[in-house]
Amino acid sequence: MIDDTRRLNSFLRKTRRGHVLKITHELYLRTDITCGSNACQQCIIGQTTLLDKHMKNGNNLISTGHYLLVDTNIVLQQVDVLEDPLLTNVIVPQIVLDEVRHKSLAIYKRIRSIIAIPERKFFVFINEFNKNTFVLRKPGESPNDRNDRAIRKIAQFYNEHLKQQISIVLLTDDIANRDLARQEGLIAFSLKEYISTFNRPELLDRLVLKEESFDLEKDLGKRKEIIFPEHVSVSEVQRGIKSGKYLQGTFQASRENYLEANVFVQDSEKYNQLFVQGYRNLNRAVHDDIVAVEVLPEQEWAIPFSLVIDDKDDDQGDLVIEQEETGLVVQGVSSKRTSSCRIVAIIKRNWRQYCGILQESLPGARFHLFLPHERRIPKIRIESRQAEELKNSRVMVQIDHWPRSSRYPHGHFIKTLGKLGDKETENEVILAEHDILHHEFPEAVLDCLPKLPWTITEEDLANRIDLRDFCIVSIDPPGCTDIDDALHCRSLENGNFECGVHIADVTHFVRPNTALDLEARERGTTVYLTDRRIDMLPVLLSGNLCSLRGGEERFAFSVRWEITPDAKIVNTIFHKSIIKSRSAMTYEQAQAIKDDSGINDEIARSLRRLHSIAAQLRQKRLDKGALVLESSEVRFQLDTETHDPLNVINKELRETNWLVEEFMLLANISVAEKIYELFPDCACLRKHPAPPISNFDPLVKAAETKGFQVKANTGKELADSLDQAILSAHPYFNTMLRMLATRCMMQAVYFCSGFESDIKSFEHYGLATPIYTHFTSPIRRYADVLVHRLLAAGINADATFPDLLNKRVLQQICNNLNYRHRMAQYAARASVDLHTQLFFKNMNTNEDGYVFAVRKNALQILLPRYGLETTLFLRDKDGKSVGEFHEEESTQTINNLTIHMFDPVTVQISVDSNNIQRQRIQIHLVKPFIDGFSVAPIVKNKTTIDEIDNTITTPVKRLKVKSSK
Amino acid sequence: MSTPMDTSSLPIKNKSNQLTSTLTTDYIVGSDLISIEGYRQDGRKPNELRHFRVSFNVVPDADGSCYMEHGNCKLLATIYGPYEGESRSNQEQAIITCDFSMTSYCVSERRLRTFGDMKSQRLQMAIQRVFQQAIITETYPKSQIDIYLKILQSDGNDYSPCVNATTLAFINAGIPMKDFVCSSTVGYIQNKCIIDLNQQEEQQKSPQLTLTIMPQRDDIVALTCESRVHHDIYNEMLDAATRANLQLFDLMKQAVINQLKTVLHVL
Repeated sequence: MIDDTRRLNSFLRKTRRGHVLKITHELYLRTDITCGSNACQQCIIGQTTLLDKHMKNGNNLISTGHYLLVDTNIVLQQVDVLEDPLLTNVIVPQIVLDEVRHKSLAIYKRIRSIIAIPERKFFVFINEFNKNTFVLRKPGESPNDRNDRAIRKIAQFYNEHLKQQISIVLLTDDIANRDLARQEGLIAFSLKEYISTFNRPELLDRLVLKEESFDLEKDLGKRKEIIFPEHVSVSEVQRGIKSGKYLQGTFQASRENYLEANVFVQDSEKYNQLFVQGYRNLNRAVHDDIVAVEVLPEQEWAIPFSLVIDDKDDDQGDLVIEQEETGLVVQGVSSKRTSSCRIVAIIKRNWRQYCGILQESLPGARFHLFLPHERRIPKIRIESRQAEELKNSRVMVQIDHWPRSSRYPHGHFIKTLGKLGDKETENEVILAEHDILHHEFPEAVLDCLPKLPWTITEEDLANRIDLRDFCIVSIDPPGCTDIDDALHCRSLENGNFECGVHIADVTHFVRPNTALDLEARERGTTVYLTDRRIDMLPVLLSGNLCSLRGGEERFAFSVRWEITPDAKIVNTIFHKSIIKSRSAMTYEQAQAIKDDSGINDEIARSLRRLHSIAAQLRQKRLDKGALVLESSEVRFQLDTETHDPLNVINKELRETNWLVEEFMLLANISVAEKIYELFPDCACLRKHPAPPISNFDPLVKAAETKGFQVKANTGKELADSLDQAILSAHPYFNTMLRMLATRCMMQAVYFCSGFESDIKSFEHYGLATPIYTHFTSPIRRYADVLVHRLLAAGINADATFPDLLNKRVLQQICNNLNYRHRMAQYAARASVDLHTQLFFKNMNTNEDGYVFAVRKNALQILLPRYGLETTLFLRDKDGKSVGEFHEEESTQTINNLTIHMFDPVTVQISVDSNNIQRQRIQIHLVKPFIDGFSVAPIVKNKTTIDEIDNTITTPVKRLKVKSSK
Repeated sequence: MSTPMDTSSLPIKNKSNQLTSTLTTDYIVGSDLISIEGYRQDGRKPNELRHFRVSFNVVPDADGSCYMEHGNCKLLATIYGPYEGESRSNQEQAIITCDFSMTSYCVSERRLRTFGDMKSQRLQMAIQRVFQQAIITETYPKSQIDIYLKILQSDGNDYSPCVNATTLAFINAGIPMKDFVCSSTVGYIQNKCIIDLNQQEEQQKSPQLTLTIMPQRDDIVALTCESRVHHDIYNEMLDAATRANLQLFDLMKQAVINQLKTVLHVL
């Protein structure tokens, strides 16, 4: 059917590509495009009609109702302001969106997500296809001028179209455009003019600083000088990289010294990593940027400065650099020089929003320095009118640009996160710094959820095998609400057993490419913080419909094996099922039932059978060389109301823990084999590469100090040598070795099988299995969702969809999952750190630990009770080093007393609150007592190791009293 | 604890730069053939045809001729015949031959060879076969009908416009046919079917399907699909292609009727 309103007067738009090609595109101009205003009587009212009939927002520049019209630069630069809910009824022209998308995908996404919120009333006006607003580029007119004219044309169109009922306010920061608009009789303001009338200082703070506003500094009497060398042009960089003059790499600032950094070079045989030192060489690069570098001539190579340098806390303007740099030159042997380079250009900025605090400055000052939480990010200069209010809060800041004349990058304020030191605020910081998506689920996502009460339909039953009569139980940690696995075991007539693992059927609810699916895909994983859980799926699914709760009918994806009594697998089947879990047990309960010989019901019997099979499976796996690794995992017992940590519990491992684990491993391996067989090109698998032998050096060296030989040529060798390294006098020694071994490992990653040519590289080193995937936790990991879909499609249990076999898309998802997964781990660790600090706040205590590593100027001390690893700096009160380091034996000698690795020590723990932003746990040596270095034990208890329990309980009690108030 | 000396965690952290956040919506945002507002790049909606215009009798010497513009594609179809062929045998049906050629300026990069290449030959064969079926060839035993197709300007797929123009030229020549023959393409981009692809859309590596039907008889004459398509989508695309052909059929029928009206008026 041909649309009646379509006029076929096709205009031709000609573009020249290359040298001689002439490509002609058609453009169909339409008359059926709606203006989106409720005040309009002509346009067809559709769902897209957004703009209010009567619009008021307390603005006193324009008394009548008005709509805002934004131009490209406003969106590109001031998207932070546009995100404020104050601004509504905004017309975003199509041409602006196109230009924004062309220039910055990140900002395009942000403006798109504003448009997606109906309450904000951002309307996309299709001006380019509209017969009334289309403008042809005049001869000699630049594309920019043409676009500006197109935007002005929109304003005119609206004015005529709405018959002046509602005025159109054009927001543009381009002075020329504003003048032209005013000449044409339009209302035009700069964004600053417009929002100044609202009396909202924090909104003004969010404005991006323009170069000119910094000219004010000139008036303040400061000299403006060019500090940094100019960046070379893009074409120059491209030519340079091609010819090998420049190299491209990722810029990684040093944590210890703000004047040093490393560049990890891509595609170079000669250099992997280049060192950068000094302001001019760093040339305004910020951590994580993609940069172009030029290798310096060998005689200019620098020596890394080994000591820690903090950027001076006072803002000295831009002139101090000279002195700082001269202080930096290290006299040293030339052999210590590392290959160095200087940054010639930034290829891609990877600026994000940074959390931190404002540095105190003179009262009334307009410009302030912002100290980022991440120490690899330089300080940022921002303009703020609300410094007083922000004094003790955490704020978020975005970098805008870094002019050559400024020592610090310029940025603008985005929002405050809350009071400094507040637990909520600190949690926000952890989430923001680790790029964890923790916003509420949007409407569109919630719309994809099934409506309650949820019922099982006949159709559902027809496609599933009914296992409701089976004795299926789930075993999880106490307080677990997202139960995604359950087990059963029954004996068969032929003497074999049938074991089954039943996984929540998440993909039944999360259909591919729905908003719910895309949101989960983006989040990648559920993030567990000590006092909070950030769900991947809305709680209706994660805590209810998908959770295999006891006594309720739930959908599951089942793997069933026929297993002989000596744990050989005869047969494996996969199918979708419906189950009714008999009981949702904790590990403790399950253990009790299994051990109590008085109980002999169905549950107890199947638990015992499962246990015997799991034990054999485990033994087989260990024989193959699977590693048992340790990491210090602790859980905090939290106050039920304030969520403050009350006590630390070490995770207890029961037999039932590994019983469940063993079957989950078996399920994962069986599924991995199956999906690889079904889809060799696009199976989503998980690999854990074997680490290079050199990774194990620290472990081998550490074991040698106690006379043990650790071999690490194969996983099996490593496992065996770890098993043998046991000191009867030192029971914790073996655990520490295993912890060290954990740190030698590579990171396990998800990948798409189609991108690995060699099946050998699928290996999972830690588990000693040739192929592995994740199938068993679809509620909290997206990878499992992918695997469920693959398996379901492969066994004809579910419909297929286009992206299922697209390996490129799959690999892209895998990359995102790996990133999210890693960030979630870091966040969890940061959260534990935070709680450890809260725990030790206001309490000085003695604790025994072990020397875990010996460093040049410090000892790493491990406190097993808290799973805490801290650094004991070997310097006296004046900051002078006291120890004598022997690299060969890894020992430190202090006042004739030699400390070896794994030596037991006693330390005093306190929280150092000197640096308000980065509070850290601080320890002092108590035992062995070294004169002039160690501190006396706390007077209250003449500490012996046995008495430590007392010292712990007292402060905890105190905390309890406080929290109950 | 991240203290300055905590170098043990450094090697792991450094690796994080290899893993940058690739937001999964990237590849959705990446291609932009259909905007979120639902418009294609030339302002059409997914189910709209390009501009369509025909004129008949452009070559008075020929028995039937038709000049057609479909979007940016411009072509001339002429029919000669039926005439007595160099009959080698006692054939009972008319023979249809097709000669397809392009102008050297019809695509943005000048072509050196304008006929007789693989592509042209295949197209010739395809059109010959389509019309062998559509023409009631039994009417003209021992005779021959020649189709001459000349592309003046190309806009992606040439086959479909050629079929449509030939149909109209046959009608112009007054040669009896079983039905109109309509052909159009359908692509599947961003989980949507879009009909009547132009060159820009055709260059995307996405599933495409070309369907040729006789709309009033509900017959499929030819169907090509050279990409791997999931069967769920395939049916969807087939439906979209059929709908596109019906739209096209209306336009073609209208053109014929208009032509007839003017001719009758002259008479």
